[in-house]
Amino acid sequence: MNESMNPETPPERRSGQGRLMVSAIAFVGIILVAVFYWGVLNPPTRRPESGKAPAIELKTYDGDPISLAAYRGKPVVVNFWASWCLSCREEQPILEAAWRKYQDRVMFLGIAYLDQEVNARAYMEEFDVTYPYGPDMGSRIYTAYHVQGVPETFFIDAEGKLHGFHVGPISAAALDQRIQELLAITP
Amino acid sequence: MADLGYIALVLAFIVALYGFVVSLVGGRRRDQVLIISGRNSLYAVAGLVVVATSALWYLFVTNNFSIEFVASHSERSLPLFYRFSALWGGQAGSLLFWVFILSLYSVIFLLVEWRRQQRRRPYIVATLLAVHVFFLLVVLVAANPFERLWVLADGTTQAALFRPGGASLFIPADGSGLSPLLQNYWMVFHPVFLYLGYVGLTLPMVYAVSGLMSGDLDNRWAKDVRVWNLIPWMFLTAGILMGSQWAYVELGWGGFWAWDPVENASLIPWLTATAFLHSIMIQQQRGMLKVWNVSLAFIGFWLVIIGTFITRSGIIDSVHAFALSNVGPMFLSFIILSFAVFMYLLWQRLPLLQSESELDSMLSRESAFLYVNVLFIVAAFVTLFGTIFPIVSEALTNTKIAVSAPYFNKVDGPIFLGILLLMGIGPLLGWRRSSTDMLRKSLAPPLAMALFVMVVLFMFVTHNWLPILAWGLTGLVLGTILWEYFRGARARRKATGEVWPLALLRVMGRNQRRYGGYMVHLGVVMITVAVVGATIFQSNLKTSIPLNESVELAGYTFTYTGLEQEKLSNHDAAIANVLVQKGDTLIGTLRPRMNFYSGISGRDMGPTTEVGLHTNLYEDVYVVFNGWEADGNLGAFEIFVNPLMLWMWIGGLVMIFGTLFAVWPIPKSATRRVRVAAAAQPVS
Repeated sequence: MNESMNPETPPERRSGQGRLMVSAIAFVGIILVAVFYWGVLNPPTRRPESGKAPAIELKTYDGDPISLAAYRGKPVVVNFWASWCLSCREEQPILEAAWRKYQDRVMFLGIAYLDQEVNARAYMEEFDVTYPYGPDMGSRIYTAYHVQGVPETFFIDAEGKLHGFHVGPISAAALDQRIQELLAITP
Repeated sequence: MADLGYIALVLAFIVALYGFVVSLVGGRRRDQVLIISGRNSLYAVAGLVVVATSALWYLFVTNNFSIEFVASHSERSLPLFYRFSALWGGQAGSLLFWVFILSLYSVIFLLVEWRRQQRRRPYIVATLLAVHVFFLLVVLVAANPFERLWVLADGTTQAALFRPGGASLFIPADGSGLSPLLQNYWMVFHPVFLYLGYVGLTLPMVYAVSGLMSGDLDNRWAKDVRVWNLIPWMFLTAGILMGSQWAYVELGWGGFWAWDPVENASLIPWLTATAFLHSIMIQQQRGMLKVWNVSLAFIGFWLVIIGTFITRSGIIDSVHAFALSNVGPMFLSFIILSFAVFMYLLWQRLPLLQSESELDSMLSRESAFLYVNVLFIVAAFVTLFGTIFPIVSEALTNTKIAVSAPYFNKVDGPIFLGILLLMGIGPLLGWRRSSTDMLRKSLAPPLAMALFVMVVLFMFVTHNWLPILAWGLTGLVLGTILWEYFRGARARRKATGEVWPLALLRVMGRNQRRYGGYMVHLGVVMITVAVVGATIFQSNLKTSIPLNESVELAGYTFTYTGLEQEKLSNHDAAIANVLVQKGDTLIGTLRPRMNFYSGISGRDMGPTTEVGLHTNLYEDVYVVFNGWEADGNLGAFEIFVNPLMLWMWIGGLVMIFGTLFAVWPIPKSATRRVRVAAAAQPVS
């Protein structure tokens, strides 16, 4: 197109330009379609239920580092919560009671979602929570676990593999049963 | 009512399929009976789609929760207003709404075009019906909004059209509600305008494809298609801006555009449609770029389908993407099929699409249009590339890498500046060729304006080169627009002796396309001024304020004066009162709020924020309420001062007004009278 042209260009060359353009459009179109085709065949991973649990690295509000990998050898209960979340209040005493009951054999971890430090601390103090908890900076862990709202609780076995999750506030009986299942497969 | 809706959809599908075949055969055989039958079936399809959509609206308004789609997108306490808009609050309903708008457009299109498109007629109907067939199929098979809820023998519930074995109908006491983020009045209008734009881009495609099928490919189509591109383009412009407004007041992060895949999906076809509305002018004037124009008309539509596919199939994670669903493969099949058919038709008709003339000079109106076309297409392409980059990177390296705002700003920013530059120079160039001498003469006033703006900015406002350059370019464009209005009025005044205002009005009335276009450019200038002001000169403060104490930002004082609670039908709200002063002047009390919607399926989705906003021509004061503690004795806030933000919305209105001015059918007699008067006037 950018070469100097004059009206005497023979018609064959002009239709040649048309064909070039059509080929270029076809080329770009086919690449796009190929990308989309691949995308449909490989949909993004949804909320993981089994397999290796996504890594958790965070710092508690007091600045102590927490790493999921460091708890290998013990089952871990990971709870996503927030101080603004009303239904989290339902399950918070249940989680704390279970932690006090099982703390020799099971690890508990609280991950604050979109929360502010002052509010989050006040909330945990209100429920007198003694297991470690901290903020999920940039919602990275939340995204890795494909959480869709709080509260959600994930169960991870002693080898760092996922054993399902619970959506919404968990009851004492359900939590107890999940922990028993985890302990049953712990060597 | 659900049965009525469902049956209407099935009938619409069958009739659409029938009309499609009949129109094709009728077109081939030039059989008028078949062609008329095809047209009538399109009218019938439109009627049936209206019935189905109305049925769904009825189900929403009457709270019929036995319908799964109604139960999961509405609730008893939802205000009537939102029950109406809940129709497009989810996948199935919004696809039905799509067909609804397509049907309305099709009927208007046929009523206007039937007489003047003798050769294209059957193919226009066939193409419109082909799109109907696809969308109706998706609605019927993959995302049916009329599915009922059933309780199976084992006690689980399931959504299905027909009674599964041993199941009984399940009617929940209440629905689970509409997503809180959608309960905002902008979210009622934004999707409607966006869809009017999106779906409307089908019409230029229908023009192009029916032209290829019928072989009726003379330059007249470039003139005929104009209004059918401009109207959807205008709706798309409005829809995008309303979406930005929604993000601005509802999401509470101080900005208006996040380069999210869903936003990009609406911007990309807008870019190609903008390119198209410029490039058809070259064909109209010079008979050039025929292959390109036909292709662009199709590409606009194709990108709409691709955008829908990206956001609906769940192949890309996005804050507002719909859940992964089986509409993905159907859309992909349609993308492939429509592309293959189009490319085949285009290849067949290449001999009819030969250019009648060629570029005479690099310095001419048509080459400026060509450059701006290239820039728009490159912008569309790099934006698309960035949007689908997570898939590309995962396919190539097995890790999903999402590119974010910095990529888009870096890549699209310079392109948009280039477009501004051409917007300043292009209108001053003549068709065919411009002498550099003439250009220098006509460019002098706009250039002086640009320099003036830049010098003033440098001396009094900032030494940052980016806003100086961007605002300098807007000065250039503004200068060009004013200069063009002035020159037009002056020429007419010379010829007719009319007074200035009358000469200006008459010259505008006689050349609506040109002067309407300049108004649109003026709107773009305003939006650019706002974008640069509100992003580069934004002030921001994140802080907690104890009761009755103050913070300061950008010359304003903010005093937290108390917390109120309010109970509404479907949510509770906490409202902070923030007293705003500028110096000693009281501006008023802003009331940013947090809304707490009762949990959906036992969970809380997080509070939504509604910002407190004070706006004037100079700047926006924008306060987000993030939370409180100690019974409201301490409030957490994020405060923004966004300079010049209001110009964004004013610029949008100017763009819409300019488009309406450009396409408004001013009665022929009025213009003729002016022309006669002008001709009769002795030249002084």
